Amino acid sequence: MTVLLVAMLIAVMVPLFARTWRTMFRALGLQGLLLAVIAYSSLGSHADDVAVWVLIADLAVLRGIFAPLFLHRMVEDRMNSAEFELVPSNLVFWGIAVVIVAAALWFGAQIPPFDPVPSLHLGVALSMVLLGLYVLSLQTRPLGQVVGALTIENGVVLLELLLTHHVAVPVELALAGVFLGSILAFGFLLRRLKAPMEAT
Amino acid sequence: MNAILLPGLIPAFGALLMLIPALRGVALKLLLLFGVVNLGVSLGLSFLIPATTTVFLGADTFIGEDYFVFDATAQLFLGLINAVFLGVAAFVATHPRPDLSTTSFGHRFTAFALAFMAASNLAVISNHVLMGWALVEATTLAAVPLIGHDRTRESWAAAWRYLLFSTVGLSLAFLGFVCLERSVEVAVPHDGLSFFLHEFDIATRTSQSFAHKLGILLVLFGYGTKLGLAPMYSWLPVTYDTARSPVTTLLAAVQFNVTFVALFRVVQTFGAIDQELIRLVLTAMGVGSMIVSAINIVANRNYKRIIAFASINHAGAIAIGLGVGGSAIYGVLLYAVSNALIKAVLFLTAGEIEQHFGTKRTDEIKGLLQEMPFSGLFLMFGTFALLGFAPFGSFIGELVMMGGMIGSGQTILFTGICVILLLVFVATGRTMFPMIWNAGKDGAERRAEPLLDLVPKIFFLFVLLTLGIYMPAPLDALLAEITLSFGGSP
Repeated sequence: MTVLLVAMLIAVMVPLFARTWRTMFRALGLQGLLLAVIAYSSLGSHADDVAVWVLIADLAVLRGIFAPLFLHRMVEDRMNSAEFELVPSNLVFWGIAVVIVAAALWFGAQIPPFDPVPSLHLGVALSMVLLGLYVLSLQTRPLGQVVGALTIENGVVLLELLLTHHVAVPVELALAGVFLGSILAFGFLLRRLKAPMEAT
Repeated sequence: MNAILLPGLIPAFGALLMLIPALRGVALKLLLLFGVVNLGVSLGLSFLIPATTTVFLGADTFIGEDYFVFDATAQLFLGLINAVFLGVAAFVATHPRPDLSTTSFGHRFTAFALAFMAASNLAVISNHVLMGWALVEATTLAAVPLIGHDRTRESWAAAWRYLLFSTVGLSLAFLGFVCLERSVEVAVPHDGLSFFLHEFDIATRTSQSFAHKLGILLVLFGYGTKLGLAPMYSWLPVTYDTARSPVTTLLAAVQFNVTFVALFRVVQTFGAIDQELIRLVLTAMGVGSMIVSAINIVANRNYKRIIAFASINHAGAIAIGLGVGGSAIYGVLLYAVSNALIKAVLFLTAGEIEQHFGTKRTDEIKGLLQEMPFSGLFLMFGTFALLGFAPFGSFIGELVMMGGMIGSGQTILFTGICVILLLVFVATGRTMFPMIWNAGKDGAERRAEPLLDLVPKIFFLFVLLTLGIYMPAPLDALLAEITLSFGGSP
């Protein structure tokens, strides 16, 4: 589990430094797939529960494959450059991102129970939520804003996976349906806003 | 009793009907028909089920558990939002404006508006906080195409901002629910928090933990964003200003109340154990909202934006009243009901004025009573109600809320709110009333205003007036029942 959580943290951090829009979509896809693997690792003992499989399918198929591919397709012919900065590329903004992650990991370690894995799990989830908010606070471009919003969503789902009690099938289906609707709406609007790279 | 699902299923069926191309030509007539049927069903359910009875639904159906509930809160808000929806449907279906009655607008508006209403009605009767959360988000998704209908850069940008703020706000609310669940699991190993509202009291065991308090904070902040409360309010004036008037009415009068019910149920559940925290957060958000709205009302010359900022002002007052609790709850409910009707009258009228004068600037419009006498009167009486004048329901609601503040010893808060309301009163009157009363252009023609077009607004004003002069006994009992269930005294 620790390896998966560290991989998740890397998948969240890389697009902040890589400065290409294709990397952002790959990282979002990787986050979804990692969430599915983490869900399987922590909920595998409940394999007889249909809700668990609905959740894993939601994470792997919707978040890991469909969302990044669909959004990529919606913007690819509108991007006139391979470069895209989620945070300004200088040491100050990168430093703030690193401080956010360090603070989230420290915070995760202060919340009971004081076991290393749940603490890391909580810390990584909080890092994702806070980094998503950080990206949103810096971005005026729709493409960057949607990446910030989806990073927050993924962070919330990672935190949800820390829970031992899970919701029933109708609720999982409703949550998956709402996520699918959100991705379709984001993609539809990204396509219609004249240039996803320009400020709104 | 499966009938309580009908207010959600009927519009969902109507939305699906719009997939049939042959029905697109009669879409607006179907919209009106579904509006009538849905209001009839909602009122019929209220008539059949007494306000003091709570009916759960789901355990004996294919969904397996009691995901839905029909209680006094559901009764009040189902009736309200379906009445507003019928008014909007009648306005759109009978409207003489060519751009509103085209087939293209008609079938798309009908499909998404009915989908919006299906999600709204189900959210109001939801007994599960996560299911309710998903349904509130579904109303957002149904509203996005309605906001972007004009297909201009401006309308897409407004739809984008609306979607982004809603998604982030609701994500934070969801995070709050996860924190609440986590607080229970840590405090009581092998136990968990049921997200069913009637089992939510398990959270009382963990009221002192940090995760619990963070959870409450995030839920209030997230739903507050959806209500247009400060600090995340900036989506609201842009969206309300850009969307067409029937769409703005659905957002301001229907979606606002659907989100309010979701927040109300959470505060109702946790109010007893987290009273201080809830009061502090809601008061801070409410006062912040009232201050930013007052400043923007003073600075604005766009009447649609002024009404939008007044919505933020009202949301702030409702948040403060909800935080005060106790006897103020009766006033909050009355104020919320009045608020929905005021917004319906004002936004529908604003659309008419914009269509006729071709501008939203208050300083470019004069002689409204001469050119559009009915719209002028609606704007005048709507503004009176907006400002909390007697004898409208909003006046009584505000009075009861203020009484609740004084009763709970919050005189500084009371004084501050009075100052803000006075500022809003002067600023709104200074910009809105010259449009109505000042002499218009010489030789300006009077615009024909068909009776059918006026009926919804006349009805809303009539109800507003009734609420202020004579409170019907069944409605009074309903408000009293909800106030009692909240722990207050009517």
